[in-house]
Amino acid sequence: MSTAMADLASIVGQDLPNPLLEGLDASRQAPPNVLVVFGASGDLTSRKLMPALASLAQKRQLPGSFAVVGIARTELNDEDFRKLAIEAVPGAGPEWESLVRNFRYVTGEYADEQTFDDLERVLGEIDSERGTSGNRTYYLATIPGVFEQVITKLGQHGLVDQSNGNFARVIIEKPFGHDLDSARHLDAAIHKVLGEEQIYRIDHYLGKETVQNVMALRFANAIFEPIWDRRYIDSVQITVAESVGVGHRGGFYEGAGAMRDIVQNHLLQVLAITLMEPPASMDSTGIRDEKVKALRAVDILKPDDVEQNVVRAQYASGWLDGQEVRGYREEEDVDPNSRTETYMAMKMKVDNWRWAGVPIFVRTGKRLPKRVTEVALQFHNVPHSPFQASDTRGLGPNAMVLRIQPDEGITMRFGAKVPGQSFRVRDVSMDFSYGAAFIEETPDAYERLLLDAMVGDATLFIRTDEVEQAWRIVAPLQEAWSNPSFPLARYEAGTWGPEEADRLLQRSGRKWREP
Amino acid sequence: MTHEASELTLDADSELMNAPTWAGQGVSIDQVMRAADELRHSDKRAANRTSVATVVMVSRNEDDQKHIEDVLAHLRPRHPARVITVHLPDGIHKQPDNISAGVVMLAGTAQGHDVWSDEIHLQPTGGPAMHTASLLRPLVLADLPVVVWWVGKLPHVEDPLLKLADTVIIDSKEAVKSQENPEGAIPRVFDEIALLSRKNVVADLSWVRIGIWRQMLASQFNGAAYRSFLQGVESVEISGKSSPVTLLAGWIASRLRLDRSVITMSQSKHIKIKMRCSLEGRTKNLVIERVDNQPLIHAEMHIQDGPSHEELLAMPDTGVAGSILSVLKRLERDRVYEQSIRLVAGWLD
Repeated sequence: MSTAMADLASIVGQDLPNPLLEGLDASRQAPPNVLVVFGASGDLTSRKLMPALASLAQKRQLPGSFAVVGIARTELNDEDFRKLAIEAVPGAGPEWESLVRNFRYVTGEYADEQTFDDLERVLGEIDSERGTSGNRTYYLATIPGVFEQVITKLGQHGLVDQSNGNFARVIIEKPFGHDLDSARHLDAAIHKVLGEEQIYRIDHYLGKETVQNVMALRFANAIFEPIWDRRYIDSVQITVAESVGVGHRGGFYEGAGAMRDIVQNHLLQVLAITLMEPPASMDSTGIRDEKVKALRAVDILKPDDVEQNVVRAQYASGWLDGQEVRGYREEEDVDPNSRTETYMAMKMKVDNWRWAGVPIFVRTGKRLPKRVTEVALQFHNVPHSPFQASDTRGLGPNAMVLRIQPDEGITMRFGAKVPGQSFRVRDVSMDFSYGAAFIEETPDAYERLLLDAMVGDATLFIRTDEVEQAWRIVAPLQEAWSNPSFPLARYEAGTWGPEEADRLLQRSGRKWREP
Repeated sequence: MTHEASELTLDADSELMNAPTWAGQGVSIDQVMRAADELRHSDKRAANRTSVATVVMVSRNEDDQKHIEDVLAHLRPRHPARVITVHLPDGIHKQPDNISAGVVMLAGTAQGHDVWSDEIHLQPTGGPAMHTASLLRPLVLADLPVVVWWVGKLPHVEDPLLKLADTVIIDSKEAVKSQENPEGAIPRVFDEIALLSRKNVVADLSWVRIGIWRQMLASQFNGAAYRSFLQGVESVEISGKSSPVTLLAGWIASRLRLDRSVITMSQSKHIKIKMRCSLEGRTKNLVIERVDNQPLIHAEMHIQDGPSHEELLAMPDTGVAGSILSVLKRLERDRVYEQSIRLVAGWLD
């Protein structure tokens, strides 16, 4: 922190609220700080972080005392980095150009002391010139392999010190480890340098407005929560479907598969929000405590039970959206004999008062017919039907579907009388679309989460015990799949998955929804 | 009263897709309701529409009507609501009792979603024009907020529509301009608004327009080191058009509990705010102003022997339609506005 600002900070004493901010649209505004992006020349920075920053600037949610320092191995100077930032957000307004003028860049290897010496010097200059008060938000937009190294160096150089009343937070991109042991190792290494309150593990799914809407639906309405349990709900289906293949990410995907790419993080987060108990408050502790409790209640499969309850599969060639697409093993950078799963379906049990006996079916896959994420609650049938069987033929159980993407909203399925003399009852569905009710642009997930980290709100970030519990849930699967004889089914691209997945539900007289 | 309602027709030439319309002279509100219902069910998608409010717009002359038309053109594809326009020119109550009405069902697409809304246009004369609440009460959508916008002048404090309104939209700047002696009218207009805000939730479009200036000023004091300077505000100079300047002055004074003598107000074409603060012998100066005639705001802050920074920000849409859309997103009582208005009304007494 510069001398001038340190003097000012010492005068300040405590951080009082800004009375001028009250009631303003952008009352949620980042405090003065420097955002330091590791991996600044990479794809995530230009594709997600820069547009998110431009949008925050346009909405006046960044303070005047704000700067960005990019850091990466790629040889660039300040001007080159600024040019990249401008090009990353075509059509951005003058506030973006004004902001980018304060961007700085440090070239260097993350293993070199010099890199962090240079970073320290640049941060000191920015504090003096712009009054950023020693506050830092570090974003690790790098490969996971360097997380530990970067955080250790930051610690060694005193760059995450908070002893002057300033803050230093570190945002870490997923994956947090590749299994339970590696996640624990990474966590221990990080905690040698940082307190848990300084760590912001990002899962961009939680930044999606519609995922947060699941909580609004459940906890802001009195009509849903009373029926949100085993007494009324027969089963739950969570689907995270993608129509795309692996594209150019074949190399990465070979080591990740659907389980590490989607299930361990995004899907289990959606599951936790769907199954959690109502929190006492919507703050970071209240919500994350309840999510962890929900994840802890998930029955951990024994390795011997995995084959009975889990289906893993890989897409073969097929037709999707009128186009012929190749199979996974024919994709770029993919082993022609690959056994990496691109699809996974699983039957889960949750051992708590609310969900005992309610099967939770989850599935995710690539090259499915369409991109859709939804949570479907299927209700029990009526205990007694007073109608003749012929009058209710074709009437399914009531269902409530929370559509998370792409057409965010809620669908209710229920029976209604077909007009006429006879008493025939048929399924009808009632749709609510968020887009039709609130016609305004919702903030991008990264925009929301970047601002959250800068203002110190960790509610939508993942806590260490959540990460560990998620790995514990999938650990038996990893163990079982390490056996080459574990079945890997195949499904035609453009279909809803393999027959084995259908049978997973058929065994209990149920079937998958077709979203 | 004669009832000669026209047949339901589909207007293929409508600016929005397949907008069915209905119109009639000498009609009853019951007929209007039935027409709206029939039009809605003439399209399956409209039958399943989502609405968030009933918005009533009250005009008194042709200029007001033109304003409403401009706003509706902007609002239609963006805000799923029932809009009811009521035209009440001076002297209309002296004419024979009559209700002329038109109904149009509108569809558009916003971000890939079908958006449906309906518009009901009412021109009552005679007795019905004096009892507008009785005309509108059956037409407002159940369980949804009712927002009433008086274009131009402020509503009379006894206006029957005030009882129907959850939120009242006004424009203090336009209300001042509509007076014979605008400068001299400022105290009375702000006094009336303060009175209005005691009974109703008031949304002032002028307040929305100065939002960006409030935002810019507030952000100069974000962060502990800067915030403390608010304890030592020595002078504030605000220039611009008299109505928004008064609002800004009231806001700054009420938020920071400043004595009126600290604030200087003057007239100029565009808003400019200069502020000087002092803390422990160190001075902070800031200037926020419009860049020439461009839609840009420039802010410059300098702390003596300390940091400084400059910012540039594009001005947001400050048109009436954009401001109304902004109000419709947020219909709750704005305590900060009410405190500002009351303080100003007290100054001007």
